[in-house]
Amino acid sequence: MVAFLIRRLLQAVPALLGVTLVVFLLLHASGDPSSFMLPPEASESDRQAFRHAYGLDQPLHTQYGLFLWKAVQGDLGRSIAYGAPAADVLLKRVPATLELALASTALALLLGIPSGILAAFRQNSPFDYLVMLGATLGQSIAGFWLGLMLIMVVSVQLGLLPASGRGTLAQLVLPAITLSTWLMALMARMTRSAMLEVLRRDYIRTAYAKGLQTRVVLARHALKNALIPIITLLGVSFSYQMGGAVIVETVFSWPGVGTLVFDSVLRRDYPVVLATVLFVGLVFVLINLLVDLCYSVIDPRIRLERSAAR
Amino acid sequence: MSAEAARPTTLARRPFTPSSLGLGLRWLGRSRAATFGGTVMAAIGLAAIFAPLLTSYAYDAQDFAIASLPPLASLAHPLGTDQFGRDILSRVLYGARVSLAVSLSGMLVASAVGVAAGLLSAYLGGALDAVLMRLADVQLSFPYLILAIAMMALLGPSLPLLVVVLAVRGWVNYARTIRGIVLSLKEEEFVAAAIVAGASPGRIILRHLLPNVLAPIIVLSSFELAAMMLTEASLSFLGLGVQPPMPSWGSMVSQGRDYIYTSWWLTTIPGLALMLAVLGANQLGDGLRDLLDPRLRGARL
Repeated sequence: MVAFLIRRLLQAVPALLGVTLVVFLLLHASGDPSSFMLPPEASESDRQAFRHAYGLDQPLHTQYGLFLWKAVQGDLGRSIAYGAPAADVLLKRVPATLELALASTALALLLGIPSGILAAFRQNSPFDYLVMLGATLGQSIAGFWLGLMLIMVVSVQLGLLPASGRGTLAQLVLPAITLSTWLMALMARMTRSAMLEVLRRDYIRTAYAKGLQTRVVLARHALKNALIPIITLLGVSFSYQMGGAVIVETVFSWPGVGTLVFDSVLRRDYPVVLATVLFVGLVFVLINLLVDLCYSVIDPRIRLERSAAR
Repeated sequence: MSAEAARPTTLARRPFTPSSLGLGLRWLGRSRAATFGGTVMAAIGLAAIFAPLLTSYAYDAQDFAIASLPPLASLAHPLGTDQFGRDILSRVLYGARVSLAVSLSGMLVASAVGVAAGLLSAYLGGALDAVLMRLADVQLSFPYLILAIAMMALLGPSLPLLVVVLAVRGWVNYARTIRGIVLSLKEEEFVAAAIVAGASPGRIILRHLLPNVLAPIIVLSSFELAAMMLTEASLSFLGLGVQPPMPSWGSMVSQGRDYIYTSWWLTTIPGLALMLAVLGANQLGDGLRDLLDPRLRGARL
């Protein structure tokens, strides 16, 4: 178990190195931050001093090596825009995005999975068509547009919920719905097809023949076996949720990691961009680790060691 | 022509005639999703190609005398005008051009790179396979949109870069799907027969393996087109995709955002156009998958 965890974390190292290196090179290909951060009338010696203060006057490989060396020690440098340590700037934004991501994932699971189950159970019924129509539309709608439409109808026309900001539960509703739509559609679709597959099996007929109630057959015998593909999706969906968060947070002025990384890229705030990239990459690794652990809980036949060797 | 006809005809080499078009349409008609998606995409494609004939206004022609007309208020501007008096219908039509051109280019580059990577990776194996699949893993271990934002913002938005950024998104899906299929195909007897007959690896890949993966490529391309239209629109919405004055559905929604309290149509209409196009491509993909290759059911994500 411990060996598995360590091996998986080690496997993630090259990926994290690759992503940070790409972003690091992009940042440096884009020009000198002193031209963005200092007023145009700043003297050349001011610029030199600025570059020196942030280590930008050193060769690229030294800078990247230094970034890694300090990152391992927990030091991600100081934000150029905020003047505070980049890690602090980032961590201050994490709760907002976590809240949004958890709310939207919960919404997607609570509505997507049951409607997928019922759609499969009543295949080709009007309800099934309705779910499939909703799922198809949900996967074709652009998050930024859906968010603006919700603002227009719910906030502007009906005046029911606030259109932006964070703090109250009411402010969470529209962003969470917007971010969850795509995942909910995917969940409903995948649950339906996984259930359709399972409901044909002999053990389902056996369960009915034993005289079990439909509810029990669906929950204990069918859903449990359909869960594997659904959980796999949950791991994959994180990266889509994170990308979606940039859009949704922008639309709803939500003070999370998404708006932070977007603003920091535009401001060339190197340390914050790199800190965010590292953080997002790490979270992704951990979520996929969690997904693998879930597999072995749901299906004891899946050995962790084997999935690690995959 | 006669030399061509003497060769055994495969799907790709059959000469294109009106009757084969009719056959193709009838075949598409067997799936409701493919019929719907195909019709929508054909309509949008034609509207994009013939945009100058369908509207008499330039997409950037300003006229403040008729600024912010709501839809249907004037027959000359059926979808209304924006805050500069630009005709929305013209901008949506020209926006279709930009969106389709950029997404199709991105899809073509992604499929060329991805299919080549998948074929070579699976058939040759070894170090090339390891490197390519590792690269795919690295890319999949990070939210694509953040990478796309970084690329566009840091290298400066331009149409060629936008195509590259979209292709970066797509090649992995092609490579992984094709690799998976070819890995099992290369154990088949027809490949062994070709090797025994003395065919070179290049000939086996191009003449024996590639025709067998055409169906999944077509299905995947439809889904990729949908995903790329969405990505292009998202980047343009953030100001990092198609740059003004060229209209893009994403940037139109973004510009209409400031007028959401007064002019609902500025955000609503381009968004509807985008949804219809993405829906069309997704449905076409669903239909083609059912018709061509039901095994690909997990392909769409």
